[in-house]
Amino acid sequence: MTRTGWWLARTLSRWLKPAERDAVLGDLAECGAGDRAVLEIAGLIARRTTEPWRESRAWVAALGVAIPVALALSLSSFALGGRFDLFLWVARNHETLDPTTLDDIGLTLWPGIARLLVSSLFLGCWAWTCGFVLGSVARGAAGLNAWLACLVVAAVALFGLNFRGRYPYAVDEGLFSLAFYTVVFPLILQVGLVLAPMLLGVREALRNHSRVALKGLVWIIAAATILVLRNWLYWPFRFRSDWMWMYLAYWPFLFVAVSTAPSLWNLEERKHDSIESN
Amino acid sequence: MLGEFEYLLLSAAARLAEGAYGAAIRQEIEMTAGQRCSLGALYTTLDRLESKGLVATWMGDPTPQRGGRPKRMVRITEKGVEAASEFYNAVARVSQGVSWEVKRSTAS
Repeated sequence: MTRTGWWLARTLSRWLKPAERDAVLGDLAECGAGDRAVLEIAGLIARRTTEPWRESRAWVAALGVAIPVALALSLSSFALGGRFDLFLWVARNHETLDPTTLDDIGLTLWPGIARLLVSSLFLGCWAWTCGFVLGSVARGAAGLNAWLACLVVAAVALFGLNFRGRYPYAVDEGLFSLAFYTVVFPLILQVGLVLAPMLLGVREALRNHSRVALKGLVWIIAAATILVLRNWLYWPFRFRSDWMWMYLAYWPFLFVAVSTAPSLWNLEERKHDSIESN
Repeated sequence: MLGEFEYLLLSAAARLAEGAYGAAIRQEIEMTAGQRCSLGALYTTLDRLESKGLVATWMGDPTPQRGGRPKRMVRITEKGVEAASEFYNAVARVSQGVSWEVKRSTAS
């Protein structure tokens, strides 16, 4: 094999697990595969990547969790940003602000801040749970599904920067046309409340080697969909009287379903395969 | 029921016994079955057989001809022997009374 071919083969083999990488490169060296080694490794990587997608659970995770939930989370974070920026503006201008202004626009400062913080926590927890489910449902496809979810979030960020809910307050919306409010702050929320918790959830699921059975997943998706649809137009854009109920319903439900009630939801512990442990 | 390639792999591993590892199995399949065996097919099938509990694999000692890299050794489990035997018997049963002789037309 030429030096370039060997370098390419070794570079490509980094996609494989360390133990498998050594065995594969050793096999290729032993049988003198020549420049075909690159194709052999590429073929193995392609098979490894597509293998998990032969199972229906990978598609369920992609179409039932990664795309719709990432989209909902992303839009929610934008909507939340549209509430946060008003409070940021108040915080930045509190010294010069006429105290009657807040009364005039109908803003109750501290209860409003408390609700926003709870909503942010809720969103972060929901994103973490989404990642956890993504990693638990189809471990082999978790990486690609995480990328898919990130892609959805990025697409919303790219095409949805102008997406803003209507202010429930009588405020001059022109105030918030600054780049910080329209671009930077929504992106910070996207990363902080959606992307980071979601990827941490995936990592946690992969680390725990847990796996949700298809039956449990169908229940989770059905219940979450009904809950979301029931209040789709309101949560978290407006704070209805039952927002606390919503908070209690979503996140603990999903978390309990996928992590602490294995017998009820057919959670299975997946053992390390021997090559992983070697 | 095993797949065709799974059976080929199990048979090659059984023939090689203690010397069954990735490259040797591949060579055995190519020699006996006369068909090309890609590394991708070999390793993904090995993983599948292992997850079904039909084979056990472990990393062997490194050797100089492999550039100091270890082999992925393969051993067929009892369950694997049963599965291979079941596949072989099924093929034998289904083949009884069947002739695969190619009949050539004599008409010109």
